[in-house]
Amino acid sequence: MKKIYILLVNDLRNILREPMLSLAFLGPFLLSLAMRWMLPSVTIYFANYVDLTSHYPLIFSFMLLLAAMLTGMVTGFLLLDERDDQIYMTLIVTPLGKEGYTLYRIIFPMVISFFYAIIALPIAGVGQIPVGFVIPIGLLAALEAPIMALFLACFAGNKVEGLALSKGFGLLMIPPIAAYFTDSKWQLLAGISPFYWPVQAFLAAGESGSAYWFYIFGGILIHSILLYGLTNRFIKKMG
Amino acid sequence: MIVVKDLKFTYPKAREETLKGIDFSIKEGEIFGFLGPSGAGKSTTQKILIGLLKDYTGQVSVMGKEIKDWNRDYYEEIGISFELPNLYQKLTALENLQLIQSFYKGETEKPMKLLEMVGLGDKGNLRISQYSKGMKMRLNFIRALLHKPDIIFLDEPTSGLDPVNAKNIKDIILQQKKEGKTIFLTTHNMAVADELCDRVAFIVDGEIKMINSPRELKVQGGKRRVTVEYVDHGVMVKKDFPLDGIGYDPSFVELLQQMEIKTIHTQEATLEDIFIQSTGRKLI
Repeated sequence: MKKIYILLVNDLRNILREPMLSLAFLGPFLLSLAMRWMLPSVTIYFANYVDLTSHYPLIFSFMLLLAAMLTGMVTGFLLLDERDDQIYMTLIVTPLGKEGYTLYRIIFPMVISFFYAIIALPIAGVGQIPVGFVIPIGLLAALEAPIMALFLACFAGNKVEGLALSKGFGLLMIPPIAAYFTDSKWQLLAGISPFYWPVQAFLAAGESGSAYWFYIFGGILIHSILLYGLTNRFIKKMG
Repeated sequence: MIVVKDLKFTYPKAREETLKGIDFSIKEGEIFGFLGPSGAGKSTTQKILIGLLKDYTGQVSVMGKEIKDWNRDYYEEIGISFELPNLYQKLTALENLQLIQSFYKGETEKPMKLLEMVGLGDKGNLRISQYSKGMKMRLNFIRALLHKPDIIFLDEPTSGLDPVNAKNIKDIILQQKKEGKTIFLTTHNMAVADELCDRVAFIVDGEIKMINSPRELKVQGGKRRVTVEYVDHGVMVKKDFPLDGIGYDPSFVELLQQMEIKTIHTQEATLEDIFIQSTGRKLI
């Protein structure tokens, strides 16, 4: 427990001492506040063209995804720092070991991202979704964060590439949006994007039937496969 | 303490073996130098010894247990200082040490005491990004001693240090030996190896060419002659004498009595000479 506490404090120091990471780390919180204070005015502003309220579930599901992505990005950058300065070598030759280090780097963004998912909706002023539905969606969103983090650590050569890849990763947000506007079974194809699953689960949360659980379990499966593959690659890369 | 027998290792996808069956053993309380040019297999051997590469063949046992059978507790027993300082740039020296310290179950040194030992006592609260290269190297070195390990692996411990700090680090290494610690020293620096090591191994192209004490190597590799430099009528002259029976050599004794002697040196080889002689390679 002491180890985890010290690692956590260490991460917070590393994040708060770099303005870009601090901003990204607090980003989900700021985003939720922006939703609370600005979304109603934006809705009124666009009222003559489109009824945004009917798309609120999509907007809020993306808010959760962005929270997970930002947390994953921050962790990814910590990982890139640890790799550039070869700090991970120091960590893996302590009793923490390769396994402990990797596990911590997966769990840290998951916990933060889950925490954000739980508090983000009440902060943004969404009250009508029962907690029993929010927790599984939160878990799914939480799985996104380490995927993003490990993706950066495995494929970015440095932090500049990391930034570019983070934006590239954002392209995966297109399939769930396309699926949202498509009324066909073919929309399942969008499921290759991990983002599809929590978004669909969120959209189905209010409906009756088993669709919600289909998206939750489908999402867990897809995320687990991705996380497993990336973790293996990450461990191999450590040498 | 460490026994290595017929150790072979090939990196995945590599055509050639990096280690071609090396053998050595290190006794408790010994400083063992591992010397060789870049790419000779020094780092690979060290990586195997510290448990980072496990796909080797042969025997590598540390404290009586095969490396493959050790779990993470192994890292309670060994301390490692890598060639390049691997530290969190945005944390202070104390924060870096306290982080690493928290991972150990056993007794640890006080970070401040270690910082003072290498002259960084008043720099503990500075962030690493404000440290010079030499300061980072010193911090990197003491990090390996934090958990009072029995075996210490040091990779170029004095590289980038000024002579005063290099001497201090060498004194600390010798002090650790006095306390019974076993030290595995990887270096290019023959002078450091000569000063510190009880024995050295020369490794080239994945093979150990020679293992012996620096003193023995220098005597064996040198010529048994004495060179005297003296001033004769205002001119500096150099003359060689055979070392055997030198006390009875009248020309030598006469020279000592009658001339103004400037220097007298036996012709031992340097470790570097021996390295080049025995391996046909330079230490680059």
